[in-house]
Amino acid sequence: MTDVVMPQMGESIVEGTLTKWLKKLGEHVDRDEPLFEISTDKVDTEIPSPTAGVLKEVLVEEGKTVAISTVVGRIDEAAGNGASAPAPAKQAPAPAPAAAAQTAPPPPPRTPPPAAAPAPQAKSPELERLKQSVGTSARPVPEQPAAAVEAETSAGPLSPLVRRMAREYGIELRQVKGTGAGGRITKQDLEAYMSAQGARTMAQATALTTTTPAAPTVYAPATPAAPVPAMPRAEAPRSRVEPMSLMRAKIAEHMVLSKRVSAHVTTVHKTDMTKIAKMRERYKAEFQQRYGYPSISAAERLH
Amino acid sequence: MRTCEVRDLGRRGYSEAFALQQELVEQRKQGRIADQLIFVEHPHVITLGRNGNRENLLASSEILRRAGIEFHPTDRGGDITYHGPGQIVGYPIFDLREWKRDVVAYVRAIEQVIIDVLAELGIEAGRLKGCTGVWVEGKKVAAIGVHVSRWVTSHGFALNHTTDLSYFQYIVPCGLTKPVTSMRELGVAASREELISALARSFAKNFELELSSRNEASRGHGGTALILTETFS
Repeated sequence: MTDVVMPQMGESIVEGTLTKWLKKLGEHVDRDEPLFEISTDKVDTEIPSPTAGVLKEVLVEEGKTVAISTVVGRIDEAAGNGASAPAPAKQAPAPAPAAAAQTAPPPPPRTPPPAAAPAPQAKSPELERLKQSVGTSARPVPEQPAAAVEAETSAGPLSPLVRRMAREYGIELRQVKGTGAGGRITKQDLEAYMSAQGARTMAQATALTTTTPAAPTVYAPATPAAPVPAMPRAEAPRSRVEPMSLMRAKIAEHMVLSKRVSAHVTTVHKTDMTKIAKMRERYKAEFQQRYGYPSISAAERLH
Repeated sequence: MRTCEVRDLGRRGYSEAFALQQELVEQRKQGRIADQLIFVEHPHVITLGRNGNRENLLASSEILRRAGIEFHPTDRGGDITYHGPGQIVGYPIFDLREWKRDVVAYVRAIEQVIIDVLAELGIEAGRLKGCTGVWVEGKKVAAIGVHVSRWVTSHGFALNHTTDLSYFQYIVPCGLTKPVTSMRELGVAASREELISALARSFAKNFELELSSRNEASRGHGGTALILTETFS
């Protein structure tokens, strides 16, 4: 597996916003083929893939801003034919040891990690336990998004969706029973877990719109959650807050757009219909006799 | 010194100019051509950057259609902007590997190119922190939006020369609720040709380029070779 990192697009640049993945998870990418796009200060940049293979992991979602040298995804070359090439991070001066580790050639797949594996940033005993329980070794990761990314990457084969849900809802993955292939945790497992957790989960969901990799809530379920504004407590046990699906978000966006760009006006006219009603009564029988229709409506007369 | 070929395409549709840019970017990536600097003027068009917020478009497509304005989502950085007659649009196709390998420095340098030209004309223009572009007294006179692929740039800047600023009412330019201005509004009388010539020279200075104008007819893209005058008349 080759790490794909956030490249440094200039000396003064310390972070970048990943705006678009140009390849989907599981999709094949050639070496040097545009893989994702980043945005810095009115400049959109396409980033080519450092190697050929299959995009196996997407660790940074679209719209997130991360420090340079952060691993944003991983490519499995086993499925491709290209030899591993230096990642774009090569251009980074990379003074930090963590960043240096990123630019080093990645270890061949299935090779046990070096003895120095335990990550320098591993502060949480919870995290350590999780690593052991999952049985995957830690790898050095860049400092900034430390806890969140690290936990995710050592938690075995998890889909980005599951990872994201776990992060956003602050779920401890080791408490969730996986029912997927090989004990994998699926979205349904998380949902079942969250239903069981009820109100507790809901409060955590405040982080939904504001969570960033730099401020992970993953392993801090004990933190007292901020009260959810405008959400009466009484409703809590059976409610839960979910992120909007892309479709729902687009619907909302377009409804608001329509509200803004077109006039929303109701006009009301008062009309005295007495005479028309009388006339209608008067000609009703004659009309039916002549045309065969039962009657003529007032609306038609108005045209 | 690196050379840069300069040309003025005159009035061209947005899509046509975009297609030409892409072709030149491809050739530049392959090292088949030198750096390019294209000037163009677009008919009324509103373009939205890849990360732009559609909410900054204030008019419905029906209103735009009636006003004769095209709408193009595009792949440059930045939010929404307007291009139209009287605006000098510049598309540098530069390989930044031969310059500084720094996309932010690139944007700052384009700002400097325009600031220098305005200074020659006695206008004190500058930057506004966090708001890329060139500003005069809190009003934006030039907008910038760039795309980079393998260090080769496309898109660029739009300098309001004699632009009818009322067209900006349809958008929140670049997502900022700040006013726009034009060189005419600032009392500059220089012609489009003079300005393009000054911009080209300023690019040469700021990017350490040697300018060359080429005979475009042979390449099939049209456009006129520039006569690079020394000063504003």
